[in-house]
Amino acid sequence: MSEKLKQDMYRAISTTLENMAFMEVSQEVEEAVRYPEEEMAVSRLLIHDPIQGELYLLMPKPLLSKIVSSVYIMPEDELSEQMLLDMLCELINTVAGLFLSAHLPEDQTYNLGLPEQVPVGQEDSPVEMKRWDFQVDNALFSLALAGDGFFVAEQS
Amino acid sequence: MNRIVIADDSATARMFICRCLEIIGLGEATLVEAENGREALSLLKEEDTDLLLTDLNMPVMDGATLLKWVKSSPRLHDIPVLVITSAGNPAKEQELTALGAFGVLNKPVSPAVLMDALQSLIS
Repeated sequence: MSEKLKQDMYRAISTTLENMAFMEVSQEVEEAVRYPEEEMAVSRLLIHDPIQGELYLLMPKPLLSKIVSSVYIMPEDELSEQMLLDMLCELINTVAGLFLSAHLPEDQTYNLGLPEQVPVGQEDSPVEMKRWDFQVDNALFSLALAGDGFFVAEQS
Repeated sequence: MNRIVIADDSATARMFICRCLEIIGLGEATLVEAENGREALSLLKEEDTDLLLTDLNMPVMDGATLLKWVKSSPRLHDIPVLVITSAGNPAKEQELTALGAFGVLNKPVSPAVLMDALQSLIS
């Protein structure tokens, strides 16, 4: 079941980045470049119903820049910080929807909050949390899911 | 189509939808962008509009509320509304269709999927 959670998340981020930026996501992360904290950006999205949880997307800004450049068809040096952060929020929004659609029954509606950027280091939660690493274009990035309900369902 | 209103709080999403519309041959239409449902409603009242594309999760006024306002307005209720959302599944689609949406697409939308959804309107 833990593998299903991971695979649902992988499919959600793969579909998102392939459709939006024509970029291929891999689960092989051993050789991926790990960026320092100061070069990372984090977005958070609250999941309200039917399971309460939080989804975080942690992405290096150089990777975000490549994604935005690909989507906007603009040179990376012409992109603003705001465009990068807006993309980060749109990515987590799309990933959350695809993930929940795959993870929940078809007849189950769900309710999401609005995505927001949060300071690096705040991707933490008092409830159970799992983090998965992926790579795109040799850059490591992560998705983290918090919420006891996701993992209770997993154990049953 | 002469005028299309696109409501989404994400500038990236609006740009992406505009690009899809251009790719499927609707780039000649006036594409008007709104950051939330309330702003979209004002834009719809300003000028005749042929299509409304809206997200669901938006601040100030969400897409479902916007849809209800449009469908209950004698002046606006004929405008076709297509919902493009990250929170769509068959149950949600049924709910939005009952409110008057003619279609619900899941993000990330692609030109081909948008083209399919708009085929009947374009023809």
